[in-house]
Amino acid sequence: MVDFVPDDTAELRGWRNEARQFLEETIPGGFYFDYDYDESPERWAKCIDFWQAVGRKGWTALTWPAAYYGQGRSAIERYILQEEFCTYAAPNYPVIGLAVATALLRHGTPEQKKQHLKGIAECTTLWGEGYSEPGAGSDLAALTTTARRDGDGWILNGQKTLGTAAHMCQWMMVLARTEVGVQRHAGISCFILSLDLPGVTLLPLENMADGQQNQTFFDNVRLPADALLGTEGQAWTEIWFGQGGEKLVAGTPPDIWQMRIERQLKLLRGYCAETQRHGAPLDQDPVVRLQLAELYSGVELLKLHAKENYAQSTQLDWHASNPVSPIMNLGWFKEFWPDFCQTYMDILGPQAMVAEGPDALCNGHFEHYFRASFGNHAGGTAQLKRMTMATRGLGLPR
Amino acid sequence: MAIDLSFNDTQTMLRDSAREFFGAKLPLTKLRERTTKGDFSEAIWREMADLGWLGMGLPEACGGFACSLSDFYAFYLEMGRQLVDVPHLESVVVAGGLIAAAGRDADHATLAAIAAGDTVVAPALFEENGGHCADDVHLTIDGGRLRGRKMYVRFAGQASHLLVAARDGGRLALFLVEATQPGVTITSLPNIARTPLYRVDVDLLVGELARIGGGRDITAEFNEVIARAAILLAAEVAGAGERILEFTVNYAKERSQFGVPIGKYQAIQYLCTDIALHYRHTSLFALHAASREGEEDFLLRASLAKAEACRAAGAMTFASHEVHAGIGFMEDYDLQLFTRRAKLWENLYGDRRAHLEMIARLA
Repeated sequence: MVDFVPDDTAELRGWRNEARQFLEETIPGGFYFDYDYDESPERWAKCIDFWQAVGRKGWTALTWPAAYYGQGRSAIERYILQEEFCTYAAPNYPVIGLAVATALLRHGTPEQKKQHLKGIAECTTLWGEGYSEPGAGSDLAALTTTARRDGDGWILNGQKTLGTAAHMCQWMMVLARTEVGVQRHAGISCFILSLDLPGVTLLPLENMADGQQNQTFFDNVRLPADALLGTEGQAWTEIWFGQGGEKLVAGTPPDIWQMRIERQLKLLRGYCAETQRHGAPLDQDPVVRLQLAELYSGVELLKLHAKENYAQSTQLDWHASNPVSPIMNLGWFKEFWPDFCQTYMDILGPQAMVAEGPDALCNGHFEHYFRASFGNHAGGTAQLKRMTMATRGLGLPR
Repeated sequence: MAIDLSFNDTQTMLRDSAREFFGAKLPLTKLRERTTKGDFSEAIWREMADLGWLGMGLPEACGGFACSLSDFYAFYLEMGRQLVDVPHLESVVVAGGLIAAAGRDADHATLAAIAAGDTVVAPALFEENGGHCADDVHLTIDGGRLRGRKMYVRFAGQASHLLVAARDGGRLALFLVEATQPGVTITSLPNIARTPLYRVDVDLLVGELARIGGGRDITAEFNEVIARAAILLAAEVAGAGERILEFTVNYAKERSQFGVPIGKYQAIQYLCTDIALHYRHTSLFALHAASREGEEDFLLRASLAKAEACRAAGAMTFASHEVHAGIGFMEDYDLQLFTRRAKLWENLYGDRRAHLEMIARLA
């Protein structure tokens, strides 16, 4: 039965109100912070404070089983909670802890779950990613970092790159090759390790939107036996598809990072309504009106994508079933985002160049968000998503 | 169940029976034989009436049955998939919808005749610039005469009646006119879509005409009904898109050049994924808009759906031509049928520009 409304009962509407009330009390007026493009220690601290408050409510682990710090609540409740977080401009959960939690819940040993899930739920331990390498980006299976058996444990050697905010993290999830010379996707294993271990070195990579990513070097890092997450040699299917296919996890919520764009659109529309250009409000200009309508349409589509992803992951089918539609949707966002920013730069004109000071538009938000839009390739390029759509979705030859 | 995009039993049944019926009765091969009348024939219309399809959404007292816009959506997906060219949208959805919304009890006989298939009504609403809302009706009653021109009237040449929109002292009014009566001149407009499209010139005395709904203004009802039509055109585009995607992908798998299937080339893969994205986005917007019937944002949702559909119709056929190259340019190949129809979809009940302007106004 076609239904796009998530909160269709009084109970669920009450839940939405509870979430909204929490946000109003915890971050009055919203708190705009994207850890990918921000190195301010005060704002980082405020973001962590916020997620610790969410953790105290038990809401980060809302849908996890009770045995592992969760509340066993429904996917739709999680969806509604995150929709409120998006609308209210809450910060995203810092770095990749939630993805690690998904992998732990699926493939971790009871001891690993006990050891790590609490820190993620309470946001007391931050997790970074060790996936990409200088020679293995889109083609992740070309990775050459190795983990060699050594007694009970492992010796890790290699280099990871583009590790978003790894310098803020205490732990890392790393993909490494445990068997050399086998078919590319086989022989890759997943490890979880403390960044305090001897032999781990970080080097900063500053991105063009004021954030920091990192090179992570592993020089004979000695890992204990319980650093292995999941089955040896099976990380490609167990973990990576759990990640790349992360969007397929039941009850995929809307993406806070993507929904930032709605806030920019509100700012833009406000600016166009109050700004006179050539003797008339900018939003009366017929070309600008069409551009604003196109941007609005794109943002509405993004919201529909969130609902489609939810429906796809919980019902696994709508009339023209397509198992890769969540990847299609993510790929589309990756193309839309820079296009959105380019369009508003066209509308705003020269003042949008000014980054700070009294002459900057909206404290430079537009200028900064334009720069950030080239971070759209994090988690896989738009082109790679297109190739996945074509081959896995449409069945075209590889 | 919160957030569920799957069809219920009624919708599945409507979709499946439409697919079966139109697939058997009006396959694409027959489309090449049609020239001036589209798919319309007494026989087809009678069969559609017998299946109950001409009573969709019309009052039960008139032989109709309740039909949500989501139900219509399921049916129109198949109409688009099969490029069906019958006056269902015109006579049942738009004329029937307008008469049901704006009419009085006296007009129920007309609705019963529409549902039974005895009367086919072609709405003659808009003028040389096309249109998608009441503001686009300019023809004005002057000195008791309804005199002027209506354009792009689909199926006027096959209809028994026309439903003419005009301004009467600033208010919007509808008149039911017999297609053959003196003072009505119907002229065929040969067109890219090869759909039966007409110019209608009227010179009639208002006092002698049947006015729908008496003298009250019916702007709100009018805009709602046209919004429904726009959403169903978007559903047709989605249905067509599903089919364009299928045959384009199949061609890319089968056609070999330089020793490999062309679908192995990323340039071709991009074109195919373009079609997939446009098709999915149109269906998503249209399905969502359909679910908002009766809600405050209905007109906005309708414009979002139609604006997307207009872009998709052009972009999907373009991409498919790029994949097919020479063969797609041939009259014998199915693609050209979709390319032609796309232009009708892009222009009927508001083009992309008009709906973007509506979005700018309503959002």
